[in-house]
Amino acid sequence: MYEKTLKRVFGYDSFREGQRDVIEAVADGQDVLAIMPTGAGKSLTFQLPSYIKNDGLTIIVSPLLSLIEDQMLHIRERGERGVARLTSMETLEEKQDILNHLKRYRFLYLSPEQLAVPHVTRALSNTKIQMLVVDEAHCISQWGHEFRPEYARLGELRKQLGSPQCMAVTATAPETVKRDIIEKLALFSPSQFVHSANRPEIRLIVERLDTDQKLPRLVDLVREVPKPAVIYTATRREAESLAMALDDALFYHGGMSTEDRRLVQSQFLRDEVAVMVCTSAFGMGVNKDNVRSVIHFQLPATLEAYMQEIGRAGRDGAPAFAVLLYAEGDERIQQFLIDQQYPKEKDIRVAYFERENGTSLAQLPRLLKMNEEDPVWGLLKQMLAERTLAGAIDWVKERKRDRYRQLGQMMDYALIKTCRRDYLLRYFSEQPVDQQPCCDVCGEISFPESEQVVSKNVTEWKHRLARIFSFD
Amino acid sequence: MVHLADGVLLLAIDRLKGERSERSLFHVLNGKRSATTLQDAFFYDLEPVFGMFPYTKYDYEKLMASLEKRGWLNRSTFTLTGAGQLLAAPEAVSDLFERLGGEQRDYTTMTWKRLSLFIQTFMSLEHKRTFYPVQADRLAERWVKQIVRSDRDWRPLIESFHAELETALEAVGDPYATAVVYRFTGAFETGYTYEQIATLLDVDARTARLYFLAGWNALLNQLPEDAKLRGFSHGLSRERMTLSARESFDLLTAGRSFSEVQSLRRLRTSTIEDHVVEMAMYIEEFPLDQFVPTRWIAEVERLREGESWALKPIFDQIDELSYFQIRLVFARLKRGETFV
Repeated sequence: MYEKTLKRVFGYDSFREGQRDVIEAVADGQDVLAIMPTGAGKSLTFQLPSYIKNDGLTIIVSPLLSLIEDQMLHIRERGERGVARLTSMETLEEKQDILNHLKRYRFLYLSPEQLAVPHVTRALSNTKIQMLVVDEAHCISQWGHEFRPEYARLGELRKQLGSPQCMAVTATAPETVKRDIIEKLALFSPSQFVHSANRPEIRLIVERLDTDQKLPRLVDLVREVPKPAVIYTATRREAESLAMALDDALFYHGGMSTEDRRLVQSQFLRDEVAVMVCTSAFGMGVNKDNVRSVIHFQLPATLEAYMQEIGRAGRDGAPAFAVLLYAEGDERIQQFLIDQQYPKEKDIRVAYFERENGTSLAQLPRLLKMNEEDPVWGLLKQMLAERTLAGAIDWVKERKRDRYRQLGQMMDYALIKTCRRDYLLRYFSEQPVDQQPCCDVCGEISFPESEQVVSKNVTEWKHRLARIFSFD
Repeated sequence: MVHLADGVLLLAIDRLKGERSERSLFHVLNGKRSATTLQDAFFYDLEPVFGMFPYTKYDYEKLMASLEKRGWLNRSTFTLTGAGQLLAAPEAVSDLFERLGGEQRDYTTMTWKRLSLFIQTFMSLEHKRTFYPVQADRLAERWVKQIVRSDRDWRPLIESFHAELETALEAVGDPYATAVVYRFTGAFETGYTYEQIATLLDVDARTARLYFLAGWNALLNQLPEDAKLRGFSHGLSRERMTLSARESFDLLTAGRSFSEVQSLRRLRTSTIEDHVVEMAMYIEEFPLDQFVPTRWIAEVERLREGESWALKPIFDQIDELSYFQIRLVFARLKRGETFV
């Protein structure tokens, strides 16, 4: 019966590993705590039960507007209209309209702040709720790395909604955080599901080269690996120049206009372009199942980031490849980027000195030659408000040391002479697994003959226009 | 490499004749709706680029520094060097410049957002293809949603849209037509990014963007009054005047006097004067002699030096006139009227 719904609503033939167990527990009415890595298909685990039980509204609390937007887009893409959101983006009338017609909806996405608005809570408490889903649930814990004060009230709000069944979902949660989630949300003897971070379908490869060999190797590699492929790099400028050097590649980064970003994503999703070169800005919520290869032209800053980025490959479960190109000294780019994310000690001193002597906050950015929109300025402003000079300097040192340590762990992944999968799993406190094929250390990995996935069609504008307007 | 897009910016600087500052151009490029900026755009023929380059302060500073470094700009006087003038001179530059049309409230951009999103939505539904909306604009989204749901016979309409686009684009011609068409997204083909269009047209991405903007603007100007496509501009204003000036103007045309309007709207004298200058700039028939004695009008025209729009030389020579009055005369002169 679950499989039928899976096919009918989502168009998939089979569940991914672990999904079914979670769905059974949810459908059974239990509270659930699910720790699933990005890309394991966690949204399906709270969406599918709604179609099985058809027993009221599923409310999903999510911290980020962009996450809400992406998820809604994908729900709508498969033809489901019964989905709405309450965020800062809706007008008052729109919100009221949604609250007046809650019965129309199967899924309601909102931010924790919106859920806490009294008349929202009231309207929701008067409707039939099948389940409350708390996405990114680690945000509820002060022990977590992304504590959000707005999340702290969720337990109380759940009560006000009549304590509906609750599901907490997150990608990472050490023991302390797990306990916090259960306690704060008052989960009742929840079924707990912890997924392995391992992605068996992804073969792990590192190639060590000299710096000047990297680009020529990338050009060859992109021809060899199966596509669609994503290439990650560290800077916008490099993303642009690599895309230029490769056949049939587009770049994607946060500096582009919204319309251009959407065009690139759409082309990639529809296999109109085979290769995307991007910074870490790409991926948030990009649901493309058939990515066959992820190539890293530069080291990411952390192993978590690396796992997340290679996790975009092989979501359909078919074999996929993760290749890291590493040249000695590559880490310097990440070091530089880390340093850039914090104010320089000299600037901190100047800022504190100037404030002491009556310079206004508004004058500081110009004095320090900083861009007002630069997050570094935001950080400095925050430090000025909360810390002493010595405290601020220490804090920055400590943060940087921590980030360097994480970068070191990422470098080790490229340098080790033992199984790479082992190394990753140990990092996530998991037992090693035995699998073949595994990684380039465990055995040689060869790329399958890849088929051409992209068809390009450049024609005179009149033909193009006619095709866009064609009914055939 | 020098690109057309560089030429367009250099031409904008050149047109200011060293009479205005870097900051003035920044506001024009960003489309700031203040009296001074509107006047700058009007007097120095910068309306086509008004609001077409939304730079941040930081990026603008970088741009100015790079223009100087490449030997095209003299920042202390804000004038072009000989090399800069050479790059601003070609007809291709001024041609593209003029076609840009400038920001016209939300008219040009919103019409594009609505039409492109509608075509993508409608054709995808027609072919039962899922799609990823190319526009993220809530207003456009809502508008399209309503239209798509409305029950009417779409096919002949879509065919008219197609025919109207083709006729207009034929008149506009390439490279503009290609830039516009390849921006559209259908059920099976996704629109091109500016980079992709740039490759297609063998220019850089910034120039490709300008080709699109110019092409789209020219297309809208080509459409006949009764074009079906005009429906996509429904309810959009293309007024250059600020809303506040428009309000004052409506009161004046309703027969109120200058001072009545001022007290009615509780405006400072300088504000209502700005409004009157806007009227003098944008209104077809303007009663200049109500504000400036006739003999002084001709005098201002005579005293004006060459092509300059500098107020001060005139102000220094005619004690009887205020800056406000000189501005009004200039505005009418700029519109091609003559009083000598």
